[in-house]
Amino acid sequence: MKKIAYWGGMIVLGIALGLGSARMMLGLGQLDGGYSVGPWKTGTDFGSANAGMYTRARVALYGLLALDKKETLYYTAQTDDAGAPLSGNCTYVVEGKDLAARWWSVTAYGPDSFLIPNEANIYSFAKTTVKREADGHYIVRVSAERQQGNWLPVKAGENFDMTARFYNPDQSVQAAPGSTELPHIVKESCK
Amino acid sequence: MKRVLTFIVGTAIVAGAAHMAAVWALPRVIMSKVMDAVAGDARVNEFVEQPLATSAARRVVRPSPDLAYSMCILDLSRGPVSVRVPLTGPYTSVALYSSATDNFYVRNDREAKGKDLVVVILPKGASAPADVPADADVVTAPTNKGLVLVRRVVENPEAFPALDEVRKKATCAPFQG
Repeated sequence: MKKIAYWGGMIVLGIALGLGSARMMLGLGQLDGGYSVGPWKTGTDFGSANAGMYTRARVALYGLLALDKKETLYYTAQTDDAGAPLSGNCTYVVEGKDLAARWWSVTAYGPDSFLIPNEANIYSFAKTTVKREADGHYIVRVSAERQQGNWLPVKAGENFDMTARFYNPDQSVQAAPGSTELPHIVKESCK
Repeated sequence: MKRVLTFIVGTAIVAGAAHMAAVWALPRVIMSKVMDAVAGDARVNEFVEQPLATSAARRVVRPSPDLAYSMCILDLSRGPVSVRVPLTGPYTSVALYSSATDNFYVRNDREAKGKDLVVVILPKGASAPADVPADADVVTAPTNKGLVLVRRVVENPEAFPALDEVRKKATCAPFQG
């Protein structure tokens, strides 16, 4: 009886520690793959057969069926330029130029990694849908409340993140993912 | 004292093994769940056109709302599968994934230079059939189960109906020489 408790305890405790630590490791850093531009973070191993065991597991959790870096680069921002988590209780000004790619988009996701329900059915802005200023750059307001001009809706009371996708990124971005330009994310007001 | 030490070391070994097994298995389990969900709609080796993603799309995390996806669940256990995909602007790609989520092949419209994207997918160890079409890429899959994912950029909502007509013409089927 004592023997069963001894060996059984070892196995149960071992499995619990193993699964717990796996869960912790996979939660840490999420899709933080090593390069960053302001709050935007990316890695270049997503979807690749070179991906390590942890990258592959993280991608399965947070970005299943990703493409490799020649085809698409994904940058995700979980904070604003100042480093504060993106909150649906605030309004952000996202301002930038065309991303260095054949086609690009920026999409908002809820804490569950799915698109955020909203009555306007707007989930993203993109090269071919964003309204531009006279000089070609764009200003988008990210907010739970309807905005004039470009509006990317999010949900009040919940954090969110944004993913920028570069389809066929320019050579320069593939070579140096940490030195391309991405839009600024500046908090304008909070409730 | 020795018993305590054995317990600690034993627990650490079990913990390490459980940790590695969980991290290794996770992508494979998730991929198989996704493939089952898609296969619920259709047979294997056949394209399924997904509607444009909205907040109601909850099968695959982080869908792009600006892409029209078509999926074909691959089963190569009975031989090669052939895929033919007509192009739409401004971006079309064909990507192949193994059952461990690895992306082992991708081509886009720019590389196809205006012609259909054509791929013949072979199971591991098989040699290419003699009568593969001249315009086809021949690829060997690392696993018998897998997924073909076609992505098409939808420039704006008005562009979707015409694009949808073209994407329905894509084929994914057992290779017939």
